[in-house]
Amino acid sequence: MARTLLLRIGQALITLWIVSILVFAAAQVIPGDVGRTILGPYATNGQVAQLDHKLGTDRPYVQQYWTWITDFVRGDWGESAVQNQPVRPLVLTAFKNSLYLGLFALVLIIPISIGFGVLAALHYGKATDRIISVTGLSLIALPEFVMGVTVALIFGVKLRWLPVDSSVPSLADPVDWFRQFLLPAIPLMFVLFGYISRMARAGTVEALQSNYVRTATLKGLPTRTVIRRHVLRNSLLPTITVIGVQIGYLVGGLVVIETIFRYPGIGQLTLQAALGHDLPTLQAAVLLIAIVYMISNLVADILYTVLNPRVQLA
Amino acid sequence: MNDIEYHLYEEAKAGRMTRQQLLVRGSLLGISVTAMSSILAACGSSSSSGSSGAASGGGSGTITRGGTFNLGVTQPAQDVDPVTMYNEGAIATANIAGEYLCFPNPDYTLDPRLATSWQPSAGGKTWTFAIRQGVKFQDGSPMTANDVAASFERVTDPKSGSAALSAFAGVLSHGNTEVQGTNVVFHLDRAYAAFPYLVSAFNYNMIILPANYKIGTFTQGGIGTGPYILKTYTTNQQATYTKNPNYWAAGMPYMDSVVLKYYSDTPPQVPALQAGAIDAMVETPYTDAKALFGSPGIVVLENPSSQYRTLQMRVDQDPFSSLALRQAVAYGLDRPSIVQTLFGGKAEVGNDHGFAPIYPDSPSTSEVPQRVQDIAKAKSLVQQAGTSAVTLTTEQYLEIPQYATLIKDQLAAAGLNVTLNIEPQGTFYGTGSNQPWLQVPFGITDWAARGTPGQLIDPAYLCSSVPNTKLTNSGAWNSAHWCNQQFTTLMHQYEAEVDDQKRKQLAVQAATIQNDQVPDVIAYWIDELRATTDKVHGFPKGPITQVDLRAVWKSA
Repeated sequence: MARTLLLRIGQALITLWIVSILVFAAAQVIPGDVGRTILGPYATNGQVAQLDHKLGTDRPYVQQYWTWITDFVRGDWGESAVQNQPVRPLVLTAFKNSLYLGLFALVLIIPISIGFGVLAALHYGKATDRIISVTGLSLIALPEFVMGVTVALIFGVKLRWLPVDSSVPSLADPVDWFRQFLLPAIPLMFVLFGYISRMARAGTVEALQSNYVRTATLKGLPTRTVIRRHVLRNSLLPTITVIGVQIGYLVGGLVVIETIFRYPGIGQLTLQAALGHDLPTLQAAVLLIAIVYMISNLVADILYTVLNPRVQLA
Repeated sequence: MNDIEYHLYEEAKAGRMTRQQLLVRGSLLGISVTAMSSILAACGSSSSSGSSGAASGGGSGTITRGGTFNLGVTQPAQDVDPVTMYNEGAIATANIAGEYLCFPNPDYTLDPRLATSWQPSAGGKTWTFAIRQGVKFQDGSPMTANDVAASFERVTDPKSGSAALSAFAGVLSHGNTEVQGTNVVFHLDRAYAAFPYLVSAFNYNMIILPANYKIGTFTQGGIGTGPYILKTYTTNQQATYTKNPNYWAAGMPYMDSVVLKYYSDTPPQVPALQAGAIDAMVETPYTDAKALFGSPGIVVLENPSSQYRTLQMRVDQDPFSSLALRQAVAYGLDRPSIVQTLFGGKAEVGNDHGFAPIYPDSPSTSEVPQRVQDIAKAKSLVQQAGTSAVTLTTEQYLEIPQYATLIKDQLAAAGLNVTLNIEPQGTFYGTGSNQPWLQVPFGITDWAARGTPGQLIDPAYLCSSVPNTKLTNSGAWNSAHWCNQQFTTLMHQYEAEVDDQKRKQLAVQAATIQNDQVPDVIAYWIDELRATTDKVHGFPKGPITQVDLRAVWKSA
């Protein structure tokens, strides 16, 4: 098991290395340049060229990439020339903020989605099932910015129950967590609800139709116990995989939500870095998101084998 | 009354100067408010001080002190430093804590701040500014003429990379700022009548900083002479300020603290304003303001400005080297309907010359007749030019794509088929040798407001190859590549002429040439908008790029 684990980590590292090359290449293709962003549209081309040379952006690409990646793995993520500060604290703070928001959304939505998914499976084919399935699908189809703006307008502007500008809450105060995070989390939760509840429903339906569950029911066990002891564990396996993939989306795909609610997360940081040609920040942020994605997938895989003894890590 | 004041009195009495021109000339020459009011009283008109301008909230009533003022702005594109900044977020951040020698009022007259008065001499080639005494920097050290001179030397040093280098090019060079006691004397490269505007907040890099200021340290906080002290600066999030207890203007400021919140763009600020998360927006483009007109509890301040768009046509190549074709475009547009469609009427009609109506020197429509739509004439000009199809290239920014569509529709009636090519803003501005906004034969470029006609016209319409102009930056952004010797010479004379009547005549002559040759169609001048809640008072309605919080207060 340890050997296969090491193998998987090795594969993940190779994938990350390829991702870093792609990220670097993509960053170079963005139109415009750093010197121009720092000095503004009224500086002469000569001044811009001078600054570019000072920042080293006119060196050969392979050399720039190699310097960047060797520094990165040693923990030196460079300086943001645009923001005049080191990249690592900037990116890590933004990442931490996004993580809080993402975890909040996940912790709220996982039990709710699984609950509804199982409920739908238990009433398979009937009205409850239909309603839950259709609702889930519709919510997936709604873009997050529509949902985000709508909840901001209703609960933030019209009713003034919750703030439209979300800031990072004080960690000690759970009420503040809800105040700051509820509105931005709602669009995220709606999208996740659809996926997770459908996977839970499908897994539960399959488990309910299996022999061992029929035996358990015929044995005389109450439905509740059957579900808790026999069904859930088997039906949730595919759901866990889905959750693992969604974590990556949560952390990185928050750009729209963070922009609407002015939340200082990594999605917004990445967008600003791309617009401002702040390449060190952009590359570090994207690579960090890729690392999170890899780790969450790996963890989901391992969890799957732990929960399902029939499957061995090959 | 000295000579200059007497001259103004005569002009006003003879009716050759309107009250606004009088106020502008007066402020340009640094005449004190009391002297101005005596001149105006002598002419039988009542005076208003013009300082602290027309602000929000109507009558002052009783000022409520205390509280926090939340202001929204788009976030700075780079680290905030007064010397190198150029975008709105950074300018707002610096304006709250730092100050200038003088500050523009909404009507573009100048209010003395760190300078108390100013005088030209040697025909406008030398300017002497009296520096206000008793002002302290926020760290307690006194602000002296030495600090002022050092600030100017720092900005005009080519090594600093300041955005103001282009504003001062050909006017003030490094090494020509001198301290004389409590005055600062500027020895200009050429006579420049509007120099006080170049040292005002219109030239946003000209914040007065200590002589030992190091570039890049502004965001550490506590630097400047302004009404609020910068306490914290969090990149991409916000800047917080506290009241400066030693601010030099008695009684000001009124709030305890200010929070400047950064947003990625203007649309998210609209619900934030409605929800009370911010009390005001620094600037509200019309497209965002539309949602706020008639919104309960919201006031949208409005101020005419020199913000505009050029519809540029390259005169140095086909097809727009033909004057007939350029005039055809100019006659093909229905300007009032464009103003109504794009801005709901909140813009002034343009007349194809760079003298925006807000400028006191601008010729009236009786001096340069307003061009109106004439489809028949446009059609015949198009046939005369012999071109039937052109491509219009421009950027995805605010109302510009809509403007391009209107142009396409209106010119179709004149027989000119326009194909639109709308690019992202970054691509349109480009960099290095690829900058479409300076190279396309037919395009639309956005221009921010400028404080004087000279500052607006110099970079865009002058010819850099005219000999003996010493205008080293003129024509740097002349996207129409228009080189008219007579116009360039006239503008040169205009900028040097200290006498008002002669200046106005020069303006009329220059405007007539530009209107006739029409290298760029200028169809409108945008009214700048600024949205606040109805509890905010004392926030000036313009100019929009500048943020003056010294007189702001909030009612309960």
